[in-house]
Parts: sequence; structure tokens; C-alpha cells
Amino acid sequence: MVTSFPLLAKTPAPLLSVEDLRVELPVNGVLRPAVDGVSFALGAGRALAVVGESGSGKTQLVRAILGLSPEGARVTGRVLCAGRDLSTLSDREWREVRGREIGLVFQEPAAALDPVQTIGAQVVEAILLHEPVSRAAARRRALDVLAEVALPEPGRVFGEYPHRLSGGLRQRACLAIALAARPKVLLADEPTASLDSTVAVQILELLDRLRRERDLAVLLITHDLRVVARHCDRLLVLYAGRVVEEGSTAERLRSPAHPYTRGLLRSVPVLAPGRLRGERYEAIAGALEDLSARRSGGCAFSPRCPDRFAPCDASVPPLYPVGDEGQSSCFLSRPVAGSGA
Amino acid sequence: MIPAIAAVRALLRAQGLTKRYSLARGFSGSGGQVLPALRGVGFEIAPGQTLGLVGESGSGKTTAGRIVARLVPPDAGSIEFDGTDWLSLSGSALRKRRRELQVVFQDPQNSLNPRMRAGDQIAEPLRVQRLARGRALAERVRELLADVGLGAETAFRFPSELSGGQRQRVAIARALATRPLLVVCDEPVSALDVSVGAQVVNLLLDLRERAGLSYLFISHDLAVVSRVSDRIAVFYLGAIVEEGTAQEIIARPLHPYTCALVAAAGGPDPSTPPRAAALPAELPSAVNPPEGCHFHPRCPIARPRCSQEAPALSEAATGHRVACFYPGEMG
Repeated sequence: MVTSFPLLAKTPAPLLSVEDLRVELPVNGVLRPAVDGVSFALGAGRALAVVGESGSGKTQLVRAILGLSPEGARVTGRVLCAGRDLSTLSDREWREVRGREIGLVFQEPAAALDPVQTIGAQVVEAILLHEPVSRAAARRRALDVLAEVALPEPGRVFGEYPHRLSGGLRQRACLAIALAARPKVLLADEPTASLDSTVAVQILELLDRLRRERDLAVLLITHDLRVVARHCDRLLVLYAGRVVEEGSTAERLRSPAHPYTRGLLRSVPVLAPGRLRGERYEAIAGALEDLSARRSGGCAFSPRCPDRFAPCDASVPPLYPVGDEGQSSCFLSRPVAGSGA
Repeated sequence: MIPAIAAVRALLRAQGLTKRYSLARGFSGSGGQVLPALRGVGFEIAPGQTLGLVGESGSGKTTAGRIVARLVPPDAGSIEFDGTDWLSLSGSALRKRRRELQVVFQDPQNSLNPRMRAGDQIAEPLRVQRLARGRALAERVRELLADVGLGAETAFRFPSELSGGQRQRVAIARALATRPLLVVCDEPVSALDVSVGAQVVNLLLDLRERAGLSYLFISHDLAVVSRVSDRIAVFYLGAIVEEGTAQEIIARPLHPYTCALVAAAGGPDPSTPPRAAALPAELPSAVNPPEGCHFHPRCPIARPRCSQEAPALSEAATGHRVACFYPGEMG
């Protein structure tokens, strides 16, 4: 059931591992899988990108990792953080894990910050929540963290309210809060989607530096393949709740194995001098069905797939090995018998 | 067909557009400041052509689009649209001409009426303008739905029953209902998923070809803008810092800010990481913009002159204007 990860052999203890995770949500009284058997492992100092569009299950995946699945959801499978099984935690233990073990950064820094507290007070609170240190020590630590996320004039920002900061500075403040209690894992959910492109570049470079310096394990949720190419070493593509492709970023983006990944790559807006004005995108046809309308028993992508053939509607393709330590859930990736793959 | 020669009258010519917003006084008694959203901006759109406006939030590109669409009045400046003084139109004359200039907004969730079926929303401008009624109206709605790739049954759906991409198609159909000459597209794909955004861009390109439309295409994403536009104007802090053909802007950017945008967008292959070097700091406050060239605090090639004098937008090559004392020096 659980897919084996060759990478695990080399990285002794993954900081975060997800094993056959399934999140079923009630839709008109029937449980439907929003996340459908997702597995991955993430080691210290590594960055894994989870790429998916609306309805792919990435939001439910993140919520399940943090034990925040909605009321009425059925969650099965395991999430391990530094070897500890999170599925058996009490509410009190969960509060220790969130922030202390796993830090969180969201898309909208304006919504994530408390508008009536200064930035400094919010960082101090994040430290005091998890560590038995004095307020003065927490304050010193808070100033250090604000400097670490490269906020100009940390002393001044400490006393500022969120609305006084620009979007990019707010996102840096969110990072400071997320890292205040020194978590080993950072979940970043579309951290640059609301930022301008030149500011987004700064935040992503900051994330890279923090990952190296703190040996952080970073799970980056994004829909931007250009971000993935530059800032993540591994990539996991979700479609309709399932992993359709997974592997090293450089290799999977250079030679994508799954038709959905190929379609996504062709849909990315790119700058191409010399291209004809008005050249069309080779867009993926159709749209992902709602959870309620999704069929079971075949590949969920097949209704939109240009390479569809008979087996696709008969059964769900398993993850086949592709390239060097990659996997693709497409019958076209099935190893040819006798090739020794 | 009008030949694309320089002598051809522009479909739209904007000159000296200026807009200041007064910031409301807050509880603290502060405020009373003035935000200059646009500082004397001019551009032209030739018939059947697309002008892309690109820039960061707060750069003034959206304000420019809203002025063109007559959604906000400018403090100064003029717009000539299809031979008329567009800003002097009012009352029934404006209502009559509005059909020629329509808008598609970023978020169809907010621009569509949630209590109205898609078909009624598309029919509304036709009813208001008395362009069709009865069976002809129903027929025209079906035709418009087909034009944007939606089935006739979509007419009976409420926006909440449609996906984001379908909603944006309905909004486009509504904009096209009155057969406009120019459509202002304000971030039309920014709220959509990548694969859906690509479909909508394709649709806009198809419609332009079929209907001979012009677009004023506003986006923060230079890559999207370059795919759609004939010409591109780059906005920074309420002014155009560079303007030229889409080809020139992305192949030979002259302004250091445009160079940074081009670098941040990455190369033609999404699988190769962009070689972007981050610009320092962020867009400064528009209320108190820096002295001299507004870009100089972030500019990698700024020299003493740049903090004292503001460069004017002037022609650096044929049809390629730039506001920089040292154009093209950043590779």
C-alpha cells in the first residue's frame, strides 16, 4: 500500500512523513475523498513543492497534516513528525506541535496577522506559548528573529502594527512568527501569491536562506511552476486528491511523465521573445470536476487527457517509477515488460 | 480593414491623465494626505491592437484603466475615443456610447450579480441599450455563450453554480454583448488557476481575431501581457517608465525596472529557473515618493543625478520610449 521512497534510504529520519493519507469529506451525506492516498517524506534542509490547482486537495492535505480537517471529515493514514505519529495526539498535544514542531505561513499575511497587536507582541507571544522563558528573554529572541528575516530596522518594526507595513514586510513578519519557536518543519501555503513579482522573489530567496541556515524542512504549496523550478528540490503534483507525478524538480520539469504535468507546464505564462503575437497556449481542455461529480474507478484526469486510451477508464493507474527516483501515475509510464525497469 | 500605418487615427488616445486620491483622516487625526495615483500618463491604442499595462500594485495601471472605462474621473487629462472627446460625454450621450467600451474585471465572483442567472446578466446590457428583445435577445444570448465556449444551458445557471473559469467566460460574454470596439481587461486571469487562465487567454485572443476587438490589457504578470499585447507600457509609482512594442520590451528592455520584471518572469522554458536577482526594498510610498527618479532607491545602476532630477519619458529608439538617464545599461 505504502509506496516506498528510495530517498528515505539516504536520508535517515525524515522530519515529516505522510503515509497513505486519505481525507474524506461529506458531500450531500456521502463521504468523498478530497485527498486520496497521498504519501511523501520530507527531510531536514529539503524543500518539497506540492503543486495543484483548486480542487486538487492541497488545502485539505495541509489541514490534515496540522490536524485541522473540517468537522465530519474522515481522515485515515499516518502523519509523522520527527518519527512521532500525529494521528493519536490530544488537542493539547496538537497545540504544542503547531508552531513548535511545524511552523506555518499563509498566502495572505494581512489576514494571518492580528491587526490590533504590534508585530513584536505577536512574535513574543509565539515564543512564550511554547517556551518557558522570561518575557525579557522572549523579547530579545523576537528582535533576533525579526533581524533574521531581514526586516529593516527590527527595533522599529517590533513596535509597528501590521497595517503600517507593506505586503512584503508583513510576510517577513509572518515568517518571523512562524519561526519564533524554532520549528523544524515549515509549511508555506502560497506564501507569495498575494505579492508583487519583484517582492515575491525577495521572499522566496529569504525562504531559501532560512532553510539552509536552520536546516528547515520546507513544504511549499504553490501553483506556480516557475517558483518550483527555482526554490524546491522535490516536486509532487496533485490532481483530484491523488499524486499524479513526483520526483526531483529539475528532472520532472525537464521531462514530465504525466500528461497533466505536461499540460500544466504548457499553461505557464512565459516570456518568449520571438514568439508570434497572439500565439495560443496549448491549454488543457476542460476542467477538474467537483468532488461530488468525480467518478471512481478510472484515472481522474482521463476526461481531459489528450493521451487517453482504453485502460484509463477501466482502473486507476498506480504510481510507476520514472527516471531517477521519480513516480508517475499514468499507464503510459508503465515499464515495458523485460526492460528491467 | 484599416492599414496599420502611423497616420491612422488612434482608436483611443489618452493624454496627461492625472489622478490624486485624498486619504481619509483616520481616528488618530492623521491623514489628510494626498496619494497621486497617476501623474500625467499618456498612451494610444490603434484599432484592432492591444496595449498592455504592466506594473506592481499601486503603480497606477488599474487607475488608468478605470479612467478609460469612465468608472472614475481624472483630475486632469484628456481621452479621445473613436473620434470623440470621451471625458466630456455625459448623461444619455455617455450611456449611448458606453456600449463601445466595455470592461472585464479580475474577479468574476464580485463583478457578476449572484442573484441573477448567467443568461440574464448577459442580456442586461442588450436590454438597457435596447439592442434586442424577445426571441432575438434569447438568440443573441445563446450566440454569445457559444462564442465564449459555454453551452446554452449555462444561461440558466447562477454564478455560484459555475466554476471560476466559467464565471469569467460569462463576464466576457456580457462585455461582448454590445459589440464594443475596446474592452478594458483588468487582471482578467489573475484570480484563475494556471490551466484555466491559459484557456481564458486563448479565448480572449480568439475573440479579438473574430470580432476585430482592441484590448487595454492590465496585468501584474509581464509574461501574460507579452502574449496578448502589441505594445506594452510599464508603470511605476503612477507614471509610465517605459513603453514600446511587446517584442522590444521583453527582448531589449531599457529601463532597469523593466529589466528586473523581465528577469523575474524567467525564460521561455518554465522548467529552467529564472535568473532573477532580487531588487532591493519594495515599491516606496506613493504619498511621499523619493526625490528625483522615483525608482532610484531600488535601482542597481543609480548614479548621483538620479536622486536629484526626474528623467522624462522620451524616445530612445523608434517607437520605444523610456524614462531613464542611463537606458539599456542594465543587461
